[in-house]
Amino acid sequence: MNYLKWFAYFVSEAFQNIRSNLATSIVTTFTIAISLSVCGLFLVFFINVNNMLSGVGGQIQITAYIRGNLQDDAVLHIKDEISAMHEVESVEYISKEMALNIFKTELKGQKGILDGLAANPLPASFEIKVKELFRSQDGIKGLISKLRLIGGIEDVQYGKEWVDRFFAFIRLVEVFIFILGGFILSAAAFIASNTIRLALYTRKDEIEIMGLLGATNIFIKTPYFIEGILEGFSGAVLAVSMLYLGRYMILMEIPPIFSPLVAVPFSPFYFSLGVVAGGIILGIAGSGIALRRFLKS
Amino acid sequence: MINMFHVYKSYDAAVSALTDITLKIDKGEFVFITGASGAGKTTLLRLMFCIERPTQGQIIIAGKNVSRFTHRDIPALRRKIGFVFQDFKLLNNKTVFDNIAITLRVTGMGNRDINKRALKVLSYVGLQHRANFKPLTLSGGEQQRAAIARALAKEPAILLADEPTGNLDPERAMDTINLFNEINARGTTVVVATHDRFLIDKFNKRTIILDKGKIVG
Repeated sequence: MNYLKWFAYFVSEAFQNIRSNLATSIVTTFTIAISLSVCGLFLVFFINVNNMLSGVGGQIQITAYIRGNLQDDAVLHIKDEISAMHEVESVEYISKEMALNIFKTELKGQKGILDGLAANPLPASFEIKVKELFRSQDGIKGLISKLRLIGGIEDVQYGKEWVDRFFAFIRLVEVFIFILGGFILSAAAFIASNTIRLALYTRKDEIEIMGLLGATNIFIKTPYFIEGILEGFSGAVLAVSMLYLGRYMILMEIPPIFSPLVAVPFSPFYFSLGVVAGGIILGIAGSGIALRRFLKS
Repeated sequence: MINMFHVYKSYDAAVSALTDITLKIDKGEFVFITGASGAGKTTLLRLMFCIERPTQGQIIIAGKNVSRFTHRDIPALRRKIGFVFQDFKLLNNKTVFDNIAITLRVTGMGNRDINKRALKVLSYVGLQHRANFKPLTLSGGEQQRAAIARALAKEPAILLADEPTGNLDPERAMDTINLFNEINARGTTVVVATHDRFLIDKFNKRTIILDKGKIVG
């Protein structure tokens, strides 16, 4: 028989196995669906938290103050030098006049305080935004020390206390997500693979008989692997449908102000693909572990 | 065809299933292996079929030392030997026809040849009318014949049968051994483990007697 015929035979065997063990196949598919939904929910939570944190991280801003007596072309040169740094997302020049205007706006009704000033005491500066990749404690400190080396820069400031606290919080969130994620993923994988194992346990005799008839391990295993893939795939499609339906229902119910929390700002295609891949891997791994045990015994 | 040299099999230090078994079964021979329950008949057949491995000694089947076989070598050996199990070991979710077809499919045979061979062997054991029945809907005797048909389908050089008449009435038991006799007449080496003295006396064949794991006659 050629490979195509073998493949057709294995697929037909897998479908026949599913048909003759319909109840256990349905239970297995639903278990995979529920396990993947839990993982998917966690993924949505993880992505949203991550997105929220990077939004907050985007507010990290460094101010580099310029010496008072610099000419315009020197200022431009410094701006170019800062823009060329690979950590820098954007640089905005704030002249002495602009700084004073901003200060006045911030003072609102108390502008009179500034009336007694003969000259503008505020320095010109650069407001620097850091690229997402470098929004870490080390990244920011590295950038600051590079900025301090530039001639014409008098002082560099950033909300050190705020930044330190923010990154400590991020570390805590990362540890929490790592532990929770590890726990959820292992629980899901454990439950799904055990369900597949129990389902195959009912066919232990069948597997043993195949071995006694002289079937090779590949001949015995392949239909069960295909069955695992089919159940994993169906479970994943069910999980994706449940997740999208759940999200749609939540979006319908909650006030629009909270909707960005559930909006999942990432590609639905890749998310679905990830869940389907997870389902297929669970199906194969579950079948593989169970068969390995039975064929060994 | 089958040679055993000083074969021992023990499951733990205290229990010895077979002790110093040396025997020779020639090509085309019909041999009964007999003895009381627990004498080691089933273990002896299981060693020949590589379901068990010897603790000590050498087993040569059709010129190959199977006691040195790795896990990967075993399927090829089993495809050449027919084995009729006492509990039939039929796939209960498949029809009688499919049970026979699958044993041929593992050898790589094509669909057309499988159909031809399966129907031929079913008609040989008188079960062609039950081809599309599932094993559990058949009587004990019919299941036994289905198991024999499956063992014969691959036209094995050796046929091993473990208590093939254990679940049958005397008339069916006689039919079964007669069937083995016919198979043997076509050149297949047949080894039947049985404790049924009546059958052994009725068919005048070489008999190996086991007692407590040793050959005593």
